[in-house]
Amino acid sequence: MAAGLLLPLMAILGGCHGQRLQPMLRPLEGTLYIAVGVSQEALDGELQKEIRKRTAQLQASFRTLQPKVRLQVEVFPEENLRNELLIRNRTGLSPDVLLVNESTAQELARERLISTVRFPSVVLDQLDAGSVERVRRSDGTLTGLPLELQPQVACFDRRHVQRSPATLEELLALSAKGMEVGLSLDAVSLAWTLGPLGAIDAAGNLLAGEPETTATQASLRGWLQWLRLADRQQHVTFYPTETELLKQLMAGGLDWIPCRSINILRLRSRLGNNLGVAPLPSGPSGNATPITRERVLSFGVNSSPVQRQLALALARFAISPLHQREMVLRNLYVLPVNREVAPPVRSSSVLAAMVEGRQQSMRGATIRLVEGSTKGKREAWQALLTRFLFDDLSQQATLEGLIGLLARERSR
Amino acid sequence: MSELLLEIVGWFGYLQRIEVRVQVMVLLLVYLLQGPLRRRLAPRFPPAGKPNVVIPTLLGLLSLALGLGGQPYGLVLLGLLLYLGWLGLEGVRLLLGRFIQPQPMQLLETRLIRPAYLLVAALLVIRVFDNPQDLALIPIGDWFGSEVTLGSFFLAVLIVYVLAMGTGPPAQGVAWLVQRSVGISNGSRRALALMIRYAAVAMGIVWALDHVGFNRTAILAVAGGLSVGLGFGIKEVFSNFVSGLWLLFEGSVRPGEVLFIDGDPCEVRSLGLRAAVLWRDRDNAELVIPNQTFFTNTTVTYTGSDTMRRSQVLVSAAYHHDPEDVIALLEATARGQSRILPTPAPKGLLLRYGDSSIDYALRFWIANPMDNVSICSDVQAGIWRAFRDRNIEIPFPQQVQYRVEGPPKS
Repeated sequence: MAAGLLLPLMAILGGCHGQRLQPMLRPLEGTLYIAVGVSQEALDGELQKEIRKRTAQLQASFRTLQPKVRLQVEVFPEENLRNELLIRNRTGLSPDVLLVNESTAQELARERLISTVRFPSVVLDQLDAGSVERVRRSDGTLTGLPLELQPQVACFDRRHVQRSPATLEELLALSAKGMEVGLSLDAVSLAWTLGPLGAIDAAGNLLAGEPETTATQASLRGWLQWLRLADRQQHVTFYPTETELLKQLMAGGLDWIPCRSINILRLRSRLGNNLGVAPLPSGPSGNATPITRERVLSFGVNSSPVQRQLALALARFAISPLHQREMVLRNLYVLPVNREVAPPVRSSSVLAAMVEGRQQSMRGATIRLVEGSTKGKREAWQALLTRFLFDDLSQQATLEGLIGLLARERSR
Repeated sequence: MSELLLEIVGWFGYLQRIEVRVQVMVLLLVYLLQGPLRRRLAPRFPPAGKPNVVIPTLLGLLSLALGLGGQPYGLVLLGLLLYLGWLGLEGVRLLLGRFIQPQPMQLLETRLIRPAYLLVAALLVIRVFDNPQDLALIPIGDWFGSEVTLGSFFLAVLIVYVLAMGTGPPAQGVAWLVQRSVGISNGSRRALALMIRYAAVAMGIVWALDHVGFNRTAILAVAGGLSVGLGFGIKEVFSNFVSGLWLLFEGSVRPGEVLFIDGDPCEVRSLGLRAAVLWRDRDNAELVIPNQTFFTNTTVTYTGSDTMRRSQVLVSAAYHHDPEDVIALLEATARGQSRILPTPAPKGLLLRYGDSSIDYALRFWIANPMDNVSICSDVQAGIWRAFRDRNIEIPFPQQVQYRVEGPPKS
């Protein structure tokens, strides 16, 4: 009797077990290691928490497609990523996916520390064409897949600033009335002032390898003069990095700063509704020329075949309209690279300012080269301007040094 | 905490990669097979019998082979470097052994150098699997009203451990400098060194609590509650600890002091948190005595105000020798002993008239109380020789018994 009951049951169970899914439909299983590169000075517990939170959200969403995947995130200073990969690739422990700046991805790909990949045009066609072009190599492969855009905007404390200045003239006028303005001497962070002061073409020409002319010199001299003028204002202070600006704004030491959009989340957690976000001010020669940071997903060299499949699937999922829309709507303060996702600028002034910042950055495309410069070059730029503002270097000497730096940048 | 566990579990995901599996297998095989391989090779090639030769050679060759084959080899190389580092510690031990006494060297090696190496090795291994700076920021819980991260907790524990284990030599150095400049005694120097250590560890604990970010008010509240509980629960431990501190300040039981315990002079070797360790010369025994014993009982010390001890030997001479001659001879014998202090001068005394001899005492002062027994032995041997040379007799006790006839029986 018992055997009579057991046999059909076993047959059913055996049958169920035997019905295997087709390989294409079978869910992939494994751990995916993600390395996130962030600026050294910005790396702290709060940022790490933010990154882990974002990864957890991504994992939760991605598990709707691949339920057996686990994402393990590691945060590295982006400046050290090259050395880190040199060691890890030799041990076979390189990350499967890297979330880094587009310039970093280019550098890593040049040294073959990451794998270049190909994606079908149906995937790439969804994305911002400029972003795709910047990650495309001469052999047609990609250094990574563009994921998100982080434009530069103006962040201010509404308790002390009613409306963000629309022009540089207004910025100095408001600072004269007591508005505490903070500016960073970091090349990437300060590049937005080149456009309004008419120096963007000069810098662009030098970066493009064109010889210096009197016009080049005159426009860069005008820019330096404005920096000195601003520095002499009682309520304008220059800081070495953007991280210092953020800390000061959160502590109430500053009222207005230029900031990267990704930092809005942190500022909002401290300032709440008192945080104002607006496009950066224009000037006599035109609009601001900020640099929009493009974050890309690159791929490690040691992944197992399953991990590589998972990594590619994750990348495709991350740029899908579904995830990109979710990313924007969850107030992560980044812009999508997927063209099918339109940020709701009418309902959010922050997003409107970010879109405006993105538009401004596209006008001075050549200045993006500054972002790709080495840490040493950016430190040299910063040291040069610091000595200039402390009157340790004459305007002429600073101008010559600056021209030398920009010209070498291109010839690198 | 669960975040940390998940992170550690996540490292095993690397085993999905064939290159990682190969390297782990290589390391395991070298570890497991080196024994049989050594036994087989040793008869033909004696150096191959040593693990110090076989393991690095195998790891080196295999990592080279992997590298030449275009495969990742970093884990095998790391295993090789860590093994060589471990062997290198032996060299460090030999080098430091030239300058440091064996006992402190053994403590330094087992409590500081080898643990430090293991820590560095662990960090290096973690470094290839994960980012230690990243791991350090993982929260492990909310304690005393503040979020404690793995890094701050680990650093706090490490600093306290290093202070507890590693402050001995620096503290002794500072105490030595103070002794040189102020001229304190050796006992005071040792006490000062101990107090500097206690102060450093106490400051380290306070710093560690502050670094971890504990709420000070919460710590005070908990400390208040704990102190009552501890007062009842482990009051003996606290009693001994407080007694130890008190004795240290008082200066009666400090390392280097000589105390009389059960009739034997013993030297204080160390004064710990719970007990003092004393060394007994007689049988080379170490006595571990709870601190509060000294706090509540009478203690006889020879090193309270100075280290001198007045000692004496007893001797008898026959009645027919002039006591003045005997006393002069005894004092001269004592003066001839190098380890007897010239001042206060040795003093011979006629103690009493005994049944069969006159009893004398020779009293003298010595510098080191621990040498008393051996000096007394030397002095008594010297007296025997002096008496022999001067024909002074040390009489045996003699008793003459007379048989008394009782009254006639009636």
